[in-house]
Amino acid sequence: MKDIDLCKSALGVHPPWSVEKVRVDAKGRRVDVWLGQQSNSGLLRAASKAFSQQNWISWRHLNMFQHHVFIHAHRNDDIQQKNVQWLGQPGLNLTRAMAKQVVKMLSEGTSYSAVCSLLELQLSDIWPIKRALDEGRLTLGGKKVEVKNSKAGSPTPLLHAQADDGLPTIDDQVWEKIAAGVLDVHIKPLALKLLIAKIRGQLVNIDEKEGRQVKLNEVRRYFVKHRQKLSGEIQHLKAIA
Amino acid sequence: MEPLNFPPGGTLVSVERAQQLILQGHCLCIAGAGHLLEQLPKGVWIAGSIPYFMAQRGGETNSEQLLITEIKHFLGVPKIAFYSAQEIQNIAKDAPENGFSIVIIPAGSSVHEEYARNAPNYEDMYMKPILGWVSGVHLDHLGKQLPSVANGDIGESSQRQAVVMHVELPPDYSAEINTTNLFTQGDGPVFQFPQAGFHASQCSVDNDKTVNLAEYIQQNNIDIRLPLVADYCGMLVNISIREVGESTVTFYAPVFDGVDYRFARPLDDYQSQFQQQLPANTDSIQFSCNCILNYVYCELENKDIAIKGPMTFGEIAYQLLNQTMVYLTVDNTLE
Repeated sequence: MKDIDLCKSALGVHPPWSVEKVRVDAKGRRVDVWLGQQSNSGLLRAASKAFSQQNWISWRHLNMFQHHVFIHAHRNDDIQQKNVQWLGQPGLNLTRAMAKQVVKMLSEGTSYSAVCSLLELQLSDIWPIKRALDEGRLTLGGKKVEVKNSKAGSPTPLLHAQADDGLPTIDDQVWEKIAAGVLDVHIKPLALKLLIAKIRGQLVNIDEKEGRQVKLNEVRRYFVKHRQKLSGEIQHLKAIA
Repeated sequence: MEPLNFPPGGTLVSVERAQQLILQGHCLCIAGAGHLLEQLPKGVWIAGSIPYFMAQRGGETNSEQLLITEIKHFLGVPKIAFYSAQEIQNIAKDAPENGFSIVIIPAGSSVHEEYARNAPNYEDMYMKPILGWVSGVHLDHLGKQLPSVANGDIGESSQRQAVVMHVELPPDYSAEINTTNLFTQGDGPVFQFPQAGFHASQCSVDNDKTVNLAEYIQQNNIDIRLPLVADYCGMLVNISIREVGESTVTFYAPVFDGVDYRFARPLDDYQSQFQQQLPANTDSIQFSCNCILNYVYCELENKDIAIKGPMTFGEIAYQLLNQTMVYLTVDNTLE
């Protein structure tokens, strides 16, 4: 009972949801939490067979007390609630909270391997999230971003916040504008043309700030890695910003 | 070991000469008929099957010689590995931070389909130079023989896996991929496809009406030797048409949803236009490949183009391209 109360409190589970069952594997550093909606919970408790795996969808949640946490929700429950962070999207393997943590780290420039190492995930855990993001299917329940696609838009603090690498930070509107093609910067490298074209196509389907920043950070990373070769493009960018 | 003094993009040599060069320790990319590749000893080389070349005598079909391209200026020993359809997503991640990777993929394999569809989304794609080509067979042997690639490091060939050579460069050297594409977007309508793929039936025309592309091509007598061309931020990317069926069009590379395509403007004289677009200085070109469709449609047999290389079933400059010449330059950044 203590485990159920602790998980309910730690996860912030609220009606109509409830924690139905918790299993702690201290040796394996793993916690499994089964959730149910109140309308179905009596049925679930009564029928222990309902805990068989085929009726449940599972997601990896944020780590807790150095344990890996897995959330299981019944397929018949309303699992499509976009703002519930301890559920995930069907077809993905991370809860929204974990997916959000992954996306946040990627948007800050953390490499995929570092994200895996820090969150104790496998690359195969992150790959479906990346693919969903690329295809505009990932919903994190975050703030939507209004993209200014006009050159005559309101002034933005371009290039004011400089990171250590001398380039605008990822928050800077300059990256949105490069990706949107509204800055008339002459791009010479073939790779950068292809990258921007890809990101532009993907951003059409991504509204949320964190998701957009992951994509924009791919462009910024290119500038950081190749800044010596891109001195002309960077000078041009600064001149017209 | 003295570097070989080959023309940019390589030269045709006998099997015996190729064997000598491998045993001398040269780092090589090799193109040639599949049965010749099987005669090569282990060494620092990768290869793909193809009998069409732009070489020292001009364009030629040759099943008796191998086209050799030497890789120079590398640091350490290049890493050579096969990649399955499940592993190819790691190609850019495995590539050196400063260097380049050459990939050869057998046409029609599952790794070919996987790469064509998903390469743009691989981790670190576009961050490190990746180029290469799709191996093939003599056009008379289509459907009878399978294209192959070979890994010289272990002395094995494969019809199902891609072979990759990861080449690390010293800090003062830098690699860059470029393309020469003579095709430009024509003045015709804009086509958009509802989903990515090697096949298409329905598509939108000028964001207005939906048509069946196969019927549209037939009704409008479109020359299918001209590729569909998309504009990727100034880089023109061709998608060549393989076959027009009754209701489905098959492409040599996948079309992507959300991309605007137009049929290319016709070309007058490929050879002379091509020569005009080549870089003035070809000294730093290490590797090059061009498209079998350019060889066939533009009748390049016995015609010479300054940059040599295999005429392939698909070109790779990060992602899969068609009817495009791809070349790699390696320059000393201190000079």
